[in-house]
Amino acid sequence: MIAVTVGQWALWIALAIAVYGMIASILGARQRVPELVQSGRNAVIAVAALAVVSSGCLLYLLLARNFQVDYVYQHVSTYLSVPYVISAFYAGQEGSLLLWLLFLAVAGAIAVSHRRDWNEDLLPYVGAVVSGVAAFFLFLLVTFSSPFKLLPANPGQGIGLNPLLENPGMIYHPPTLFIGYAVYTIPFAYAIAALATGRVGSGWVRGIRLWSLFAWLFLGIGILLGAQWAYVELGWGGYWAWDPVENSSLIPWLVGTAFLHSVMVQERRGMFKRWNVLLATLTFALCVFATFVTRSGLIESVHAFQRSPLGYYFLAFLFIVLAVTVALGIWRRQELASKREMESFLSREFSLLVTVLGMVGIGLAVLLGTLYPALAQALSGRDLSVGPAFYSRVFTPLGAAVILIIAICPLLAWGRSSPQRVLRAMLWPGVMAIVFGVALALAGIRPLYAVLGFAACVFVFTSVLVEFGRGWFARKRMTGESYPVAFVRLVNKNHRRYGGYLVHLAIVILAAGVIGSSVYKTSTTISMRPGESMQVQGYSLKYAEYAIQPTEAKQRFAVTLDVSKGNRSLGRLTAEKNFHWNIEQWVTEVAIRPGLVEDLYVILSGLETNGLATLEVQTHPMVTWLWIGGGLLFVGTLWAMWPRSEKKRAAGRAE
Amino acid sequence: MTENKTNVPAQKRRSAKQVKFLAGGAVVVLIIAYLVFSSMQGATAAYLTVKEVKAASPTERLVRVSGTVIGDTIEWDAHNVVLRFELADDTGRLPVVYKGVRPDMLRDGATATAEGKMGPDGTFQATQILLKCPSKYEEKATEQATSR
Amino acid sequence: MGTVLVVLLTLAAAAFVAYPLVRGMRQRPIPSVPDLETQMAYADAEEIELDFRTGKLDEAEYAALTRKIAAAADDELERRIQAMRKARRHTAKPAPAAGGACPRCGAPYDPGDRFCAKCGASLAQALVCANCGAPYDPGDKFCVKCGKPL
Repeated sequence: MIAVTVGQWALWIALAIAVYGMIASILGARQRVPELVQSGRNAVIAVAALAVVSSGCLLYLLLARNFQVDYVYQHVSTYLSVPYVISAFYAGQEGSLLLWLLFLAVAGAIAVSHRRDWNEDLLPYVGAVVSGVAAFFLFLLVTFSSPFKLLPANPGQGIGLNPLLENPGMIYHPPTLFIGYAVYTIPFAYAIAALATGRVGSGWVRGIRLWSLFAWLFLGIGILLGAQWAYVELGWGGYWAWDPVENSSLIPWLVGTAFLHSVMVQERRGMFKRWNVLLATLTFALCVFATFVTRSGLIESVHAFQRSPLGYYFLAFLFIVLAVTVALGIWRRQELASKREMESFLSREFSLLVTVLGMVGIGLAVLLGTLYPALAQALSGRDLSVGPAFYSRVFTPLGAAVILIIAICPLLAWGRSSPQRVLRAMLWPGVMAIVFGVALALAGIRPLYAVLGFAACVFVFTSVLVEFGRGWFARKRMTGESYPVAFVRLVNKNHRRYGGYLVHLAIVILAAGVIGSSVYKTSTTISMRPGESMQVQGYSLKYAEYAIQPTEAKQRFAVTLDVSKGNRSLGRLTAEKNFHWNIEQWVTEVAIRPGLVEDLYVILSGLETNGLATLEVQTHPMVTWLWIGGGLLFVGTLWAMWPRSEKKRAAGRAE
Repeated sequence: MTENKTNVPAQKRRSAKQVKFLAGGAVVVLIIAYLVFSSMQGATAAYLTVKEVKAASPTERLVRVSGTVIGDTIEWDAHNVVLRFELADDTGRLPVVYKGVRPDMLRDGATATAEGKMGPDGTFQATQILLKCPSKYEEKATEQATSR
Repeated sequence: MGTVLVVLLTLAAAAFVAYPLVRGMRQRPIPSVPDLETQMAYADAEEIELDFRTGKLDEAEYAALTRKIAAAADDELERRIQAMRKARRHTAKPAPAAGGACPRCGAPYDPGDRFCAKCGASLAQALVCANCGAPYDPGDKFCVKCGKPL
């Protein structure tokens, strides 16, 4: 029980220190008392240390399977394997909030310890904001949502994790998302610090570049991991179902994307200062909103775990965040004015403005759709919701527009570019897109909008490749290096640019995957007896064997098929449908044979004792492209974040 | 810093020139807004109670109805992949038919949301069935937590 | 046992937070980075240079942007930008008579060398434009730099 006492008290102490840290930092900065500022900085570090202690205690209790702790009783059982016991840390609301706090506090401690001359004035306020946000989460953790609550007696056995959650996705997906959410606190803290000090110039946006890229990356990868999980889990409607919880993680990512792009404009041109402050705050607020949606049950959702009073506190917190930013923004409106003016529609600046508007627009549209049931209820008293039709209608044209902007924007120069040059640069991508589109259409690929979509993807893909090529050949000409050397040095000399291009390629691959998988999905229901063979969608399926057997945890129903296509054997697939005793529930284990062109996806829907099986055989084209795109997104973002070593930078300067 | 260097006339000239770009941005915003609101039309589904669904005549409009699944009424025809069950709320019971794979979480006492249309035979033709994530124990826990 | 730990934890945290107030500040030097405005302007110039080379900007646009940067830059920055441009042009024109860089591997060589010390390439065969000295690839008919026939 020591762990319970220590874990609980660590939270109380952390709350006191966080509140103190917030006040000390602000006072210290305003009264210019360096000792107080240092004390506030130490407070952030202390909160992080205490969060680590408290999390360690919870983890220990989970691993020790101390069922007298309510949270452990709820989420762990004696027959749960260790990886899932660890994942039970964030299986419930209390642990999730603690994990949020942990990531936030650690990120905050790193941020305030990273002292440079450009951020010396900003850091006290960064510390204050981090302390404030931490105090909010600590308040929830010690009052409504303590993970250390005890049961009157030790029940000896816990309820455990629902088998539906026993998927590797449960281990990777939530923490990845939470890191993204929590780390977005740092850009927000810097935005507030910039407003508070009036130093809204390019210093802060440049300083937080790594933070926002890091958060963006984790959020994006977290979303994709979630999509992957939902894809293999039956009944969650494929990799994306426009479910409020899914949407709420997508919205901050979209707005965060807008933020990444608008930051570039301020760095290069000293414009978009208002946008940057606004987007940093909005992204953070939307991350908090996402946590709130998951945890409040305000909106009907298949994921909404429960209804709790927490929702109101989250709403109040969001209101404070937005109100503080708006008030500070109005106070600093003079400093926020642009230094330079926009010169031409045909410029990097304007196309980035369109990008920002597009991403924020899509984000707000998704937000509107997500909130629609609550809004309709509040405004008209009617219970209405919007279905996937709404999202696909909004997403298709806007997505296409964003894809095309990806092709055009990098071709434009800052300031202004001449139309002839832009047109000339688009020549090859245009030719490739038309050739590809016509070829697809002639090959009988329909519908037309999908062909257009693929052609647009080819257009972007080629234009990014041409961008690589032009830089490459220009460098080769300029320096006379050999082709490989010139390429490596070019890409190595400008991590940001070429990392960004890789991410653009990744987005195009993702887009192609989304088009392919949403347009060409097929589904066939078949019934087979053991030994029979069937042809479905070009695959021949041979019913090899079946199993109906009780085990300790479940009654197992499994059908194994030999799959081949043409003369090529694709191996065995086993689709299962098991009845788990402890939760008295069916759990379907889908069998998937992934492929670059399409995935074969087999669901066992029924198995009789004589072996007669009913199977749902689906093909999901190009889903693998999503995971490939995700991998490239990871590599590209990492490349863009990778610092050039000081030595190289010095050499670059001397060059 | 250089930010203080701007003088007043330059600022005025700037705002006149910037109108063009503001208008350009506004056009983009308007297009997005138009798309969003036009997409809203016809894509909404109303949440109705069982009574309301029963009272409504068969229409083309999608509606949603939420309720508790009654375990005894679940009929799963695995061979034809047709699922039948009844949903109940405070206002009555509604027979639902769904062509598709039986969702794992469908069982007695589960909260289900069916989206679809009322059929002429008085059964609700669901095109989609959403079930709450494993929440039974969580809900119990919340009740415990709040009543304490 | 638990209580003791909690008390210790509280004391440690409080001491850590209060330490700067009690002991005063030890001024630690803060790592310095070059002025951001300057960095930005320099990056601007680099970007414009590359945009020009990759054909995103034409001669006139390039000249206009360059003038704009020159007007805003101070002497130190201007000197660095000039150095960067010169360096780029310099590497583009290895002057064979006065030594230079091997066209194959980029290693420097001394006047009079006939083979590269690094890769062994023959330096006499280095393909350079007779007019401006820019290197060209075998098979090229016109110089990419000055446009004169080769």
